[in-house]
Amino acid sequence: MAVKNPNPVQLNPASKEAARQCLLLADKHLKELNFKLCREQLQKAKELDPSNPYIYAFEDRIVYFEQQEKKKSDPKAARPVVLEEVQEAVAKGQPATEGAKAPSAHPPDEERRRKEAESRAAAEEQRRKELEARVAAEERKRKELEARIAAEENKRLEAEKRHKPAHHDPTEEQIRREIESRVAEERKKQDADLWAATEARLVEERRKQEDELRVAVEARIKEERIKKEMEARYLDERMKKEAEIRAAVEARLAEERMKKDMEERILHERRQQEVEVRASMELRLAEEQRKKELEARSSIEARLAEEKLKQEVEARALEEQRRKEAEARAAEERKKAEEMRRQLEELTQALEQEKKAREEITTKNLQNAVKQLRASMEVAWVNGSPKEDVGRSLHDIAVSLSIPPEVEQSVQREVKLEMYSRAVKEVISKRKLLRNSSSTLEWIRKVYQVSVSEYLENESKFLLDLVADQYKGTVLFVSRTIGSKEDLTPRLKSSGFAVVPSQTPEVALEKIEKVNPNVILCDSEFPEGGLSGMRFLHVVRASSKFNFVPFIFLAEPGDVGQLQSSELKPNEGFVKKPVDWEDLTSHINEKLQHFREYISSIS
Amino acid sequence: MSKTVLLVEDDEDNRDLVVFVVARSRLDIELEIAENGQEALDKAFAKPPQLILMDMQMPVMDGWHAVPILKSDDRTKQIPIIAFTAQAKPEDRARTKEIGCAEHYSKPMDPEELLGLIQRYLKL
Repeated sequence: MAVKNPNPVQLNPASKEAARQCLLLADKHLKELNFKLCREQLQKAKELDPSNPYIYAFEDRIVYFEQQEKKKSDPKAARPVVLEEVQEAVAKGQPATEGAKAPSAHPPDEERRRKEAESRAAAEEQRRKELEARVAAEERKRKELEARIAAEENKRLEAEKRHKPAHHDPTEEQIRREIESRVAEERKKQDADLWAATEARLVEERRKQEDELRVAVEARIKEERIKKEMEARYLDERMKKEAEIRAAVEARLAEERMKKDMEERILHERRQQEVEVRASMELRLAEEQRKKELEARSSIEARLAEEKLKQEVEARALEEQRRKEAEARAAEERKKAEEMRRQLEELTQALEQEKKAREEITTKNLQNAVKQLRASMEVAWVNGSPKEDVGRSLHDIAVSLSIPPEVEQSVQREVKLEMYSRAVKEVISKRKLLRNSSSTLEWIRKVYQVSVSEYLENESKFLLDLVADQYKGTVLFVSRTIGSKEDLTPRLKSSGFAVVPSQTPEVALEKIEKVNPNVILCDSEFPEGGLSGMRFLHVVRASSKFNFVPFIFLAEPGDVGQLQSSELKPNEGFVKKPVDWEDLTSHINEKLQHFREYISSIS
Repeated sequence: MSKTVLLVEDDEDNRDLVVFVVARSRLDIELEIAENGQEALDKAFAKPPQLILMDMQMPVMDGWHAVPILKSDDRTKQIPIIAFTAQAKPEDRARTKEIGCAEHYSKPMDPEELLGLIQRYLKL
């Protein structure tokens, strides 16, 4: 239908829309890679709206897509095309062929990529040329269309000229012409606008395409440059690597050379060493031989010497042996003698021990015997010396117990004295009933056959025994009356006191440390020039040892007042002269009691 | 054959002392003891001793009563009695002689004297 009406001016919007629809379909077919249907739709669009510039652009797209599809479906087929293109490019003298000159230098991938890029660049160039040719063709068509429009306008104007005089008056004709001119102007304007728009679009399109192309070309050039740079760098690196490799190889070679040199040197040294070793070995062998010879000589000499020595040693050993044997004999003899001595000693020891044992036994036996005898003797001697027959029987007992006479006598003496002592004690305890104690004691001495010398020997013991029962304490008796008729010493003694008499305080002070008295009896007055009784008291009290010893004054009647006024302590007192014996003893007992209580309270 | 002496004494210490002295006398004497006159009579009548030592002052029966009884009894009138007393006045001596005592020995005693007296009367 469009062919029937090719005038673009007269194209109605419906046909334009139809052409656009055809293009959309074509686009769809193209995306489906259905190139045949795509071309048919494109043809239809061309017929409907030949002024649509997109149709031509679409044809390019189809061509491009077909090429792409071909490449995909048959890459082997695509390769010779590229090569051909490259060859074409080479023929044109383009610099892109540099890579092709030395393809063996590049790895196959890189080579392939480079070739593809080159082929793409060539294809683009071709397309650019085709597009330019098409643009020129379209320009031509446009000019033809403009010429057609102008012709048709002329025809229409002529026809109008023909119709105007018949149908219209001149004014009307003028108005109509004016209207027509206006319409024409309007149309021209519209057409001009259309053209202008179309041209502008085309120009823009071209510019765009050119820009794109330029950008693509620049990008390719850049890529190319980068590639070149990369290649240059690669080459540099390769050069460097090669240089390094060469250096390494040279270094290795140098090392190997060094090694060889070293080996040679080592070999040389080894040879030298071997030579030296051989020389030293020879030397050693020679030395060893010499040594062996020397040793042999020396050994022979040594053997000779040894033999001599051996002989000497044997001789000595023989002598030694003889000596040793002699010594051994002597030692044995000595041992025997010692053994004898030991045996003798043992025997003597045993004898001594036996003796001792016997002695012990005898002493034990004797002791037992003595005990027995003593018991018998005590029974016999209780009431004095036994009668003759009893005495004889006692002696018989002693003999039967094999007690030696001296032991018997000593035992008898001991028993006698013991019994005598007991008898004396018993009598003394009852002396109040006796008319005369001394005569009684004398009688007892006779009864027990205690000789005077025996009595004197043991007097102290008897007296101690006598006193021990009644001893009341020691009295330090300080008095001018000592030795006179008024002397209280005998009475004090008979009352059970041990009396240490002193005529003056000075003498008493000399005795006091030794005596250690339990009571001090002291006169109140002493002759002038010496210590008074009171002064003596103070001196005694000054010693802490005698601070608590009872002190009793025997006061002259004139001193009683003074003593009463003086502050006497509880362990101090006085008895008025002439002394009342009962008063004195009660005083002494009282003070002693006080003293004992005090001592027990301390302890 | 030992001779028997009857000691009539109420005081224990005195008795012990006489026993002590007689025991050490070496004389063959058997000492019988009575603590008062009655006991002395009983013992003397039961077994007449060869000698009686009689204290005069005693409880239950004193010597002044016992001696006449002993001297009036045939069994004991031959036995010599020694008055053994602390009363040493001459009238006391005379009185003991009156009632039949052979001897008067005044206390305190002397062992040797006493033994001598005993020995004399026993004719030992």
